[in-house]
Amino acid sequence: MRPVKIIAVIISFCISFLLNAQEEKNQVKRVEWRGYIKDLQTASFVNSADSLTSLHLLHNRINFKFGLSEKFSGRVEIRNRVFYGDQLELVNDITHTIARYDGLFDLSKLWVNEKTLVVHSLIDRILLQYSTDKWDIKAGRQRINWGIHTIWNPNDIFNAYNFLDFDYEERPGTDAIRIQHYGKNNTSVELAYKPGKRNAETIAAVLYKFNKKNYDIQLLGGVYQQDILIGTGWAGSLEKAGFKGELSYFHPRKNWTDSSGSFCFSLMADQTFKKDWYISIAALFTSNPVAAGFSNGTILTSDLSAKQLFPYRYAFYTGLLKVFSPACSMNISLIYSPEKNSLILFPSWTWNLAKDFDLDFTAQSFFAKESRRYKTGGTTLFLRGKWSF
Amino acid sequence: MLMKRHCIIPFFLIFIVHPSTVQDAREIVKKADDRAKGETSIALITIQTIRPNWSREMTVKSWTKGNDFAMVLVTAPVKEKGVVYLKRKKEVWNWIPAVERNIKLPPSMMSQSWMGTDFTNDDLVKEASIVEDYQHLVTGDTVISGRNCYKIEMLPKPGAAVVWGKILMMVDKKDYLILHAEYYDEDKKLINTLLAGDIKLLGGKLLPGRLEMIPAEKKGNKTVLIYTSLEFDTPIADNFFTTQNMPKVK
Repeated sequence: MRPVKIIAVIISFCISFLLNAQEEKNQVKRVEWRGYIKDLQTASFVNSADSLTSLHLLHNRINFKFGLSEKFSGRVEIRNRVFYGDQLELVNDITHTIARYDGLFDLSKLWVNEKTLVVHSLIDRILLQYSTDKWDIKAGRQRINWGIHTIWNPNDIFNAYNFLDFDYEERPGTDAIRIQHYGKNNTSVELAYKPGKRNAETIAAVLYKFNKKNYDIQLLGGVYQQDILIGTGWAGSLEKAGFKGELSYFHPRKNWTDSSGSFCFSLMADQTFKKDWYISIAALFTSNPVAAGFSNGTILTSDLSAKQLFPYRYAFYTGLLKVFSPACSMNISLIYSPEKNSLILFPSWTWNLAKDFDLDFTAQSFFAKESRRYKTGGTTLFLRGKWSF
Repeated sequence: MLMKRHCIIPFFLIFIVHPSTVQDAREIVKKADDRAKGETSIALITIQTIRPNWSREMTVKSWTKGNDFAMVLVTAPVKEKGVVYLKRKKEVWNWIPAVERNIKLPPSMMSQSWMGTDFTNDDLVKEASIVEDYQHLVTGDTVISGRNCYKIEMLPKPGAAVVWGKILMMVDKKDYLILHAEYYDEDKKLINTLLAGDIKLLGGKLLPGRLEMIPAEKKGNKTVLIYTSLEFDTPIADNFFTTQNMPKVK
């Protein structure tokens, strides 16, 4: 759909909204809000405690939801962060990383930018939604999540998720228009359009979802920046285990016949066992990986996309979760790539200390073979408290 | 990491809404069963998990239609508010609002216990077939909370794939309410006791508003369900129970 048409659609909805509003003016407009405050203490070191650096992050999120009428609603979500600690001085251009936002509109503010203190606010959701039984139309900054796989999502073309970045689970929003239409038997078709600042940044795609023989299946296709994309994903089961996969193929728009495409493919199986054990295994294949590896933490901040979910061609994941009680659980994740025998160890413990207060301890350790020696690429420890309201 | 905390609630609740599938002398069983079921149900439920050192409370809203469809929305605590579970026949999905995505849960979730509570999921899934899978026998009478009850012993039929070795059930003679149930393992050792109380009008029927599951071996542990409201037979379209509807239910 062309932008002009989309604008026409939005205008027509606005008109219908105004007409509806006349009928519904007696209804009370409702505003709901909620949020959390998180305190994340981070300590990083490479080999010895001498190299220890720390970063503190006080992080607040407030989500507002506005019920405008029966069919129209809006959402605004704000993220405020206060950083302090010696990593601010040590890491080059960290402010740029913190304040960076690839949206059409700059809805952020860097309040303080000192060597030891950075304060930043960002509106990462601001959207208007029109909803009926059969339609959902959302315009604005939003999360368009087409992923199925729990770890790696080649189908998540609008906003790829990095599972190591556990402290920003909401992910940045995408400035886009999303139109969803629901059919019978749990089927749906949707179109999403994310205009880029430049043509080469535009993403526009169609997604069709259906369910057959207890499998959720999705097919997608469209324009992904400088490529044409087609993809598929599924979620079903093999005996008692869950079985999921995603595949995306990207072919350059220019020089169509002379160029070769690349693809990204992920698979996973998961199963629960007695006494609240849960195990998942996954694999990712990236046909054209960027050669650059990762050192401690860089994978967290590097450019991650549906096309490039991991720096290496092959990646394998094993996750083990044990729930001791509703108030305490342990999770150990291991990611391995044969490239340089790279290994990421990612354990975490979670405690629910009070009704609305959680504490978790997480570590991320990176190991790889370099110059014939197997070395640690660094370890980061995270201690996080979260109060939800 | 995201999905695990409540994985089992849907089954759990299906059981809760139809707590009385078990029974007699089949007729008694069936009557009690029919009583607690409607064509559809909409319920507000508080779930308390009680342990010697701590307790947690959660509130949910659930919608069911027959045995095939169920939707469960967590309404409290605030951290999990908006989390939704959907069951369609044998498939289960989990909507996580914070990441705005739906995760399909593996079938093995069905044979797992609901974490930390005293309900095991195996019971719950198979509960639905208890009428078929057990032989029922009225073994006597008893009185519970001033109500005359049938005492019914249930033993698994040969070859039936059931968890329990024996179930003892007390069913109110007048209103066909299951007021008390004891679950035994294959060695006839008591594992769990279910107590029903606070009998009141719910959804136009006299039903227990409070259910407690108490494990025999763990002192000070129990799980309590309190029905704040219950409605039966409100028409709900099949397409209410779709993955697309999960983010919208309220």
